[in-house]
Amino acid sequence: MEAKKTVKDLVIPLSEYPHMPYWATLREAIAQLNVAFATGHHTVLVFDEAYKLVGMLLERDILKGLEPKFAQHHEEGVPILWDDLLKSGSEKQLALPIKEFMSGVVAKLDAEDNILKASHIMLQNDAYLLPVMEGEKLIGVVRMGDLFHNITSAVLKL
Amino acid sequence: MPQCKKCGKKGLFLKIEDDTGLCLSCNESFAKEGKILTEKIIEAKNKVSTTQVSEEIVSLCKSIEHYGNELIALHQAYNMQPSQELLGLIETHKKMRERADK
Repeated sequence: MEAKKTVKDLVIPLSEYPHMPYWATLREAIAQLNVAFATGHHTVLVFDEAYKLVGMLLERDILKGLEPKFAQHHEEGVPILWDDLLKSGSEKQLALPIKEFMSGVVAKLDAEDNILKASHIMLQNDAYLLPVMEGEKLIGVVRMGDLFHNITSAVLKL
Repeated sequence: MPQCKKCGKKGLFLKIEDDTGLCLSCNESFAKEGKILTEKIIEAKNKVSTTQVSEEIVSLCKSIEHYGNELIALHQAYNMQPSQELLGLIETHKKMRERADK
């Protein structure tokens, strides 16, 4: 039955997530995420000055942003003295606007899409969270975790 | 020929913002005012998510409605359509205020 569910069944309203403007700093976004951590939401939705959703800031975006530039090219472990580099460089990163770090809205789902199609679109776009449209109206977002739970429940029942 | 939705300026080489349909000068003025209102809305929205106190919920929801409607008015002044996100946010918090007010 789970596999027959549509995206609409799993939609989370935008208002449940913390919101931030794209010009807010990384430090402010982290503080906001820490406040929201108890609610189980690990993503900040990012809006522009017209209150239009322009992106989302995921935990991985933040960690990536805090990593020193050269460390991003090391595949095996972190370079020596990473601790010190983090201390010295993070202040600068923390003061930058979140638009520098956020993931853009790479795709949108239709409320009537089934969850397998939604999962496919998410995987194709390497996204964890996607906006859901009902016609022209944005009704919320869907998380990969919820798709995972529903799809795997259906698979185990086969 | 590209034409600004607000000031009506037009010209072959006039740069119009794709998102807003405004020339750079009008777009800048819209963004300046829009940023102030958006910040106020977001501040109230994030606060209301963390409180259980009815009076605070009512007051914060009222702020969201108030600044949200100002942002809608700003859109109208620039001949723009308000975003679905903004309309949805105002509606959600209007309902939330009515529930908390009971």
